[in-house]
Amino acid sequence: MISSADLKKDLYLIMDSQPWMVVEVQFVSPGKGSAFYRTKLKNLKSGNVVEKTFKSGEHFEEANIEKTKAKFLYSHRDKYVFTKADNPSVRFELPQEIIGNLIKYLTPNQIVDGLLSNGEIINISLPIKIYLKVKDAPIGIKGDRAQGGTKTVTLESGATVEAPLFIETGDTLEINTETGEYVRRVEK
Amino acid sequence: MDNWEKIKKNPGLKEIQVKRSKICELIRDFFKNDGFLEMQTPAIVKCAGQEPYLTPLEVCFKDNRGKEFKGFLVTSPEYSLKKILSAGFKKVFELAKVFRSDEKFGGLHNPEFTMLEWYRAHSDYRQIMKDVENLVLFLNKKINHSKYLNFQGQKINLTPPWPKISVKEAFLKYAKINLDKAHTIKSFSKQITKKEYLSSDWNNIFYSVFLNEIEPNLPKDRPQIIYDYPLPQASLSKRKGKSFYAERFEVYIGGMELANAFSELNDPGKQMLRFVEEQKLRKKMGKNFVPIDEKFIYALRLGMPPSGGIALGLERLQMLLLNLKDVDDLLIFPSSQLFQNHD
Repeated sequence: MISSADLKKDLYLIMDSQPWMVVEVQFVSPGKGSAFYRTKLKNLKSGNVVEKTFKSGEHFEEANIEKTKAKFLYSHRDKYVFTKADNPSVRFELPQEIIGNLIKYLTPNQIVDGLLSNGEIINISLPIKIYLKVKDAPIGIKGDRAQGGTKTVTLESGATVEAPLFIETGDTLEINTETGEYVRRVEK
Repeated sequence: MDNWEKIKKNPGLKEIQVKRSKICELIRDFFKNDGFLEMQTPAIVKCAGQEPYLTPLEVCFKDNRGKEFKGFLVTSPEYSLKKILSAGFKKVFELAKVFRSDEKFGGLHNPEFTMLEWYRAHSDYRQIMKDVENLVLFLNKKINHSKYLNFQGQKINLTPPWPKISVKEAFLKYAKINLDKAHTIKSFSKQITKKEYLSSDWNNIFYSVFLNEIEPNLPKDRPQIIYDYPLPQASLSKRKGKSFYAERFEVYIGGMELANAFSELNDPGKQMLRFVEEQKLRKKMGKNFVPIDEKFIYALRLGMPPSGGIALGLERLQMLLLNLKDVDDLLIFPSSQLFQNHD
């Protein structure tokens, strides 16, 4: 059992017999009442994100989620098809709504973490830092560089991100998958 | 990396500290122009705040003869400032360092922070509402040159008067709970539909409903003043006649609780009763023992005029004005970096 004070991002827990991942935690102490933990939780089986507030001192069960490496193959309609990285003959597919936001960072042959619950891969997660090539970057206007302006570039996975003006098509960028933000240029 | 070192590497970050300083300067201008006197009250006191849900930091020190003294770091300068009102000062304010244990490091909290408090004698919480509206608008105009505040992608119109809703109306509107019929834990519990909100503590039921059902549904494009709290939430505020409510309000901006204000309770007998109750509740909850500040009661007995007062979290106000979500990005020495292994 873990208590509400242990709540942190990426923790897995069981609530109403469902496995959930903690997406966000905020400690709120109203001063005139006990402290609370306000969270956003993602249901790993349905992809639903809900807001829930825990009292301080509340206890719950941690979900036993193991990670296994998986490879993304392709998407067809709204199904996403993966194989186990160490055993390509084991395929599994997940609907788009279960994966949620992360789909926009998936490219074929990308290695991701498969989340195993009772021997079944129920969802995937991506590292916070991922590296993606720029598929399309509009030409930046030179004079703007000193101002530190940004422009919208499209990544190979189809996601768009705000990047500095010096970024060109073909550059590899480090992206933070939690915030969806550009971190830095890795190579030209 | 510590924040001071980040600034060395990225001088653009200096701007946050420059603006923090500017904000304090403007706050002083705002109050001094209105005839307020800036006070300096002690950070170490013999009797800390008796608020049952707060944990003051204990301090122990000695004089030149080795005699030991036990005291606390203040959780708020309230008792000192009210003694000052009893002494005859009419309009006072302070930017006071305050300290609270058992809270999170980072996010919306830091164990050490700054409280902006101001008090007006011969006044009440209605005037304080106007003050806080005018102060926040004044600061935003000077810092962001607009009557709109941009906070985390949300445009917030600061033009006074701000929308106001009583706690009773808010509970009815957003949670279908009638607080007039919730004077006891039993009658309150009867109206609760979600069993996870239930508790043996009236205040915890109150905040479960408030944080889950009310606060997330408050309008986000305006600050919000929530006023007239039920008696178990009265703290040091004056009861509204003989009703179940007390003259207390809170200010919410951008989903953050920014300030808490009262028409100040100035009846020494009633104040003493509340302290005794709070001390019992502290004991029941296993909180550290805080002696009752008898001199504060004595000051009320000598006569504190009817007054309005407020405590506003300076760092939260700075976060709003500078569009920062985490206090650790605002402070140059956040406690998380001083005491925890953080990078």
